[in-house]
Amino acid sequence: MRTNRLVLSLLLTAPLCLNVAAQELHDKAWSVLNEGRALWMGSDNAAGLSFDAPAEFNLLDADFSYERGYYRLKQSPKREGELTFDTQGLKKIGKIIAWGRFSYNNSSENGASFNTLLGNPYDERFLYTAADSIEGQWKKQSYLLQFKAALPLGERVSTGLHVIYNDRIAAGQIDPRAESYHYSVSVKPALAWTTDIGTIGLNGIYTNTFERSTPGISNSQEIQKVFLLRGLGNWVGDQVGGSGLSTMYFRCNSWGGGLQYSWNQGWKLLADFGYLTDKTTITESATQPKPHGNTYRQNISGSLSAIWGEKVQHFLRLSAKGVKTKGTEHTVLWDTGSGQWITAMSIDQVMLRSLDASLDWNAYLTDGEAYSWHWGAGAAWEGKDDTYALPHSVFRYGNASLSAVCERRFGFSNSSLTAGLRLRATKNLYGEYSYQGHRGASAPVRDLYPHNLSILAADRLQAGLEVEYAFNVAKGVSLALCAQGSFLTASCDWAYEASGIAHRHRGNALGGVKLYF
Amino acid sequence: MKRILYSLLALCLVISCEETRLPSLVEWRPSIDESALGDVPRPDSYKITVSNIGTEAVEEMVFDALSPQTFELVQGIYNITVQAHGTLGGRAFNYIGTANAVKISPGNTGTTPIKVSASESSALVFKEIHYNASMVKNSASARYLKDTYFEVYNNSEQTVYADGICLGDVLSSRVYDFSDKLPDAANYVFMGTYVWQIPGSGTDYPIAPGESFVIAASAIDHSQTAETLDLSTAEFETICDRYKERGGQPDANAVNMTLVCTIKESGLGNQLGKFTDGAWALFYPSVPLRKDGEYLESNHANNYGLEVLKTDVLDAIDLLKSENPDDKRLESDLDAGWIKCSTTGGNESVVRKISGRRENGSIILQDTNNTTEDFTVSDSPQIRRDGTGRPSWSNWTTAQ
Repeated sequence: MRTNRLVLSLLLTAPLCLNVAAQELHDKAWSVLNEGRALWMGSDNAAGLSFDAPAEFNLLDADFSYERGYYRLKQSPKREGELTFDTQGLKKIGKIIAWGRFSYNNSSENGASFNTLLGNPYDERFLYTAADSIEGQWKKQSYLLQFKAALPLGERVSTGLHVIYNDRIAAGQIDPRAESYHYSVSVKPALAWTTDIGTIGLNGIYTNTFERSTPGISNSQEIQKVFLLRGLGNWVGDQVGGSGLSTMYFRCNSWGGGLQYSWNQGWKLLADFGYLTDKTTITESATQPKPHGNTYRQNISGSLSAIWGEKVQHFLRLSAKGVKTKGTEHTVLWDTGSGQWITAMSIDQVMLRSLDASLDWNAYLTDGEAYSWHWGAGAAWEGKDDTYALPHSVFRYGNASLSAVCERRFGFSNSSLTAGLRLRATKNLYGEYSYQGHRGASAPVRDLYPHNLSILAADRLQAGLEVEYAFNVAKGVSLALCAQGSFLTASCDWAYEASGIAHRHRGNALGGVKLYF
Repeated sequence: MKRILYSLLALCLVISCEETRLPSLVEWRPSIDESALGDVPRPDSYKITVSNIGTEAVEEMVFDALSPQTFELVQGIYNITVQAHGTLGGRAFNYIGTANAVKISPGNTGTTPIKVSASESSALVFKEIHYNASMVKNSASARYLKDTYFEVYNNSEQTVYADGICLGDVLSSRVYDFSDKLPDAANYVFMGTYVWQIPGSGTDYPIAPGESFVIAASAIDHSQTAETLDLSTAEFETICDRYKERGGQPDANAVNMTLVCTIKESGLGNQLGKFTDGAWALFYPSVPLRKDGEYLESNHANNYGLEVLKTDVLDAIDLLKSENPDDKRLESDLDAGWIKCSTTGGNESVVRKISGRRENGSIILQDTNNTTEDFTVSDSPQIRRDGTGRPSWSNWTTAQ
């Protein structure tokens, strides 16, 4: 305890002891405005950075978060601890603007169920997966590497490239368990050119995603039954162990592109439209491939961002995203002649649709390159409409939410303290799960979907606090201690699951340290 | 600018124009071929079971043979089983016909006629089975696994002999495939762990109508140790030198069955190999069985099976651990149904229902080749219930 106090004292008094000349302090407020003002930074078009880039920066962030609570989807853990290390930086090298980022994430989850195979059970492309009702543990690690560069070709034209590599391993700890390996590589080449009427950008996207998940059991005496999910509670039976389910392969190729237009004459505007389509094949076994199904996803997104004002700088963003995922399930037969599984019939049974839209306004009372006050408000809509063709089943809900944020930054000679409060209220407008198939008494229909609907279609209120204390430790280098906490309380309409209203909560806390340099 | 926008829009439309194959409901009319029935009387109606291979949805319907009707099904690939039960002059017949991997879709609603054959009900049938263990006395968690037994009943009008009859556990036909090893694999059922055989010269163990014999894992009084029953009057037990050598297992006075095949050694404390669930077949091999080391490897590496002709099977039963009919191991021509006990260690047995009584009072057991309909679960296992007779040669008590 004494050691802890000593460390804390040293950290808090460091700005006084280091005798650093007063200079611009890089902290959260500086970082938010620096990156937020460069609208192209948030688009898929790296070439636009040539015309509107943030100031050079470097950031190193290490934090630990802990989350727990019973307001959770079945596939989410009751408790989760997560360690994150993140570093990023932007540099101008001659005419080239280069930005890079590396993130490492290590998490430990407890109490998640209905996910036997996947690192991310919510990826709708991987619809045809296995689930079990046993609450298990997962250990997960992921690496995310990103690189973005913009190279101007003359005064008016620029090229750019954004590459993303993601690598993840996940291991279930309780039978039926699985070891999952996942990677994805995205390449986004881009062009941008400036005309008298603004800047126009065009980018392409190609992503290759792969996940391999090998199920297994530790106790070979206890064969574990699993559900091979088909969507909305439909499933077929299999088992893990005893010559049951073998390695599953999820392969996805995505293609798409984006079109951007920006205006920068005193006030800034960026309109960004994107389209992405992908096809995922889901197959069991490499030696005797057994097709389980394909998914086809289309993703359309659009956003309009605007910035205006000087002393009080306003950020407005309107965005919408629609995703449609079609699931084609296969009926396969073993062909003795060829020694292979053959697809005897393919039927489009599942259609998953989601539509999210949001309008966010943020105002910053600027104080040099940072801000002293930040107010914001937002409104959002999230809607889901999933159907299974025959026997007809439906899963849908619609939620509207309002949010508000208020932050105050206290600037000192060599340090700053930023404290903020965030509130979000969500109102459910409708929700429905209806299942007409022959699995009515099974766990996915009885436990999974009704529970998840009661969570997703719950009225809820979330409040969060965040504090960052930053101080200069050397010329151009500042260290920040940050802490965050949030609490969510929900009135889940348990009519979807049983009867009556149940209140469920979830809280999380985060502590970390950042180095701005 | 306009050109770019229109080009992008066109590209999006082209990419999104994929072939859509939405499912539809199909009017399907079964067609039954009764040409193989010969002199056997035609049943008035059949029970048709259609199992969608893709979704595992099962539908049952009664089909009037004289005025065939149509059924509404979701398009798919189906396994179809046609069944009926009938009697003629005191003889009982089971009618069965199957068609596998039948495609039923909007453009393909006609079905090749399902050929139905008739067979006289087997003389020897499973009467009662205790398979899912009981609890050790005064213990809340220790399960007792040695009290498994099979009671086999002579349901016919003639005396039959138990000599040479085999008992084995059957591999799941859904999981294990031997079609690349055996060209006519569909004619066989595959044993997975042990096969035990009743010894004898052929006439050593007569079973008269209305009599039964009991095959016990261990023919001792288990009630001394566990919350279960006394099996010391069982006729046969599945104990062999191998288990005696390992110690801890008394060799009671019951006739020891012969362990003729060890396809896969079980680590369980039960000489029959399985206790929580399984499919079992009683059969009389018409051809010599393969020896150890000669078994066929299935589509799953290092998983072997012993093939037994389906026509050699006297009776077969699917005993499940869960409520999930997808765990069913037997094809429907061997057992169209399944049954499960409520819990492992619950000291329950499955008991065949009684369909009638003979003039001498002996029972006639129900045998429609559908365990779901023919059996019920009893929470008080009992051998030779309902006045079942013991064979004349079984007059000992085997207790040590």
